[in-house]
Amino acid sequence: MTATFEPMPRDPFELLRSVAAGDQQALADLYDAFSAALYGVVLRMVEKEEVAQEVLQDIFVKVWRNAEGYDPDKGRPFTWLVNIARNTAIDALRSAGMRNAGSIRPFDQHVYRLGEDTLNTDLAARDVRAVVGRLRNEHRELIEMAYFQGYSQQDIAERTGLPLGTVKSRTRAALLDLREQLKDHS
Amino acid sequence: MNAEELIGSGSLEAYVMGQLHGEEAALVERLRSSDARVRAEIEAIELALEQAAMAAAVVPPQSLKEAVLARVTQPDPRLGRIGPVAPVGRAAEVASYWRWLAAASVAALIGSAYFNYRMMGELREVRQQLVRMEDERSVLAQELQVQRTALYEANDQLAVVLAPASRTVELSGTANAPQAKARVYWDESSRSVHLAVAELPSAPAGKQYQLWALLDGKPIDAGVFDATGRVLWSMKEVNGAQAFAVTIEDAGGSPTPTLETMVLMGQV
Repeated sequence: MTATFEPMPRDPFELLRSVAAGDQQALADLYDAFSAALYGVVLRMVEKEEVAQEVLQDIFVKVWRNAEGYDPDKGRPFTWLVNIARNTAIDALRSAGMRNAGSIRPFDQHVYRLGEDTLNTDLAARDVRAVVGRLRNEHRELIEMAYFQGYSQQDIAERTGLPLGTVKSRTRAALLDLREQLKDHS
Repeated sequence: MNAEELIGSGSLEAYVMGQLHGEEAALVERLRSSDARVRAEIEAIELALEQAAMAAAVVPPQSLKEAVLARVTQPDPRLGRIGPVAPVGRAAEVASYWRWLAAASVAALIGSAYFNYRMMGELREVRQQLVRMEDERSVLAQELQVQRTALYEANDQLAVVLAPASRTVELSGTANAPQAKARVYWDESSRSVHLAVAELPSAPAGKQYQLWALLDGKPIDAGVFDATGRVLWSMKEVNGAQAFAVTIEDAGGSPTPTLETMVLMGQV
């Protein structure tokens, strides 16, 4: 679909299989491939660098221990990784009393906003960031809240005042928007 | 719900973003394995979000990678590989980690307590040793002072005995103590008087020997001394004397001699 990013040195499916078999080099390769993307997600959720660093360590320790539990039939490796990242970050926020189930901060109080921040200075990433920046605001916010902040549909419905069904259909519209923009981009 | 409806519902997006649980997630997974369109749609959503995540990537500090690799290579019990862990296994995993941590803490506490106990014992012993050594040092210092004083005194006495101006007066025992013998060194120029006991029985309890200078028939007190304890006694100064005599008096001396107790006598 796109050649925006450097090809992985090894197929992530294969890397996860090797990690499951106890291959530490595979874990190091997996880290090289995905740590920055996961750190970006975690940093957007916990916002404090020292917390984010702890969380990132915990994520890869969990990956090391639970790689056998990865089921390729249920999704791509990165989807599995980002789910672990999100859950680990939510746990960290809860244990720090920074986030309770059902509570959500006003969207505009988030420090890092998709398409606007300058955390990633990589040129290729900047192109995609520009794409994300072209999304309609409500779409970008939905993707940000759901994917990068880890809020449930219930949380988002409360935050936006939209009915649950509308949150669902708008999230789909947001993803279609993103896919369309990426297609045009490539 | 058929595949078409599922794709249009927004459930697949929610599924990929980790928002679906239980029944809803199970439905998606069922149709995913049975329907190629659902599979393709999910993959497209995953790829789009993956690209968004890559675009939002932030490179973590280099030290983090080393920390991660150190944590998985350490022979640390809580990092032991325990096989596949279902998401619901998290609580047990956390509990076992806390159990391990608690056990390790207790072990560390016991170890630390024992170490402290040992150290306290050793510290107490070292302190006692130090006090003992300080005592010994103090005793030795006093002894040294005594010896030094004795040496000075001996030198002084030697000087007295050897002084050219010194006159030697031999005292002989009277009928009260025929064996008694003593010698008086009298320096007429400095008027100093020293007495060396050669042979003299100990004085009775509560009594001391007293030296008298006899000048023109009058006894002049020259101080008290004992039969033992010193080689040479330093006595009171004497201006002039024709003879010296020793009597036994009450301890501390008497203003006038008790002639009946005279034990030594010698003419200058």
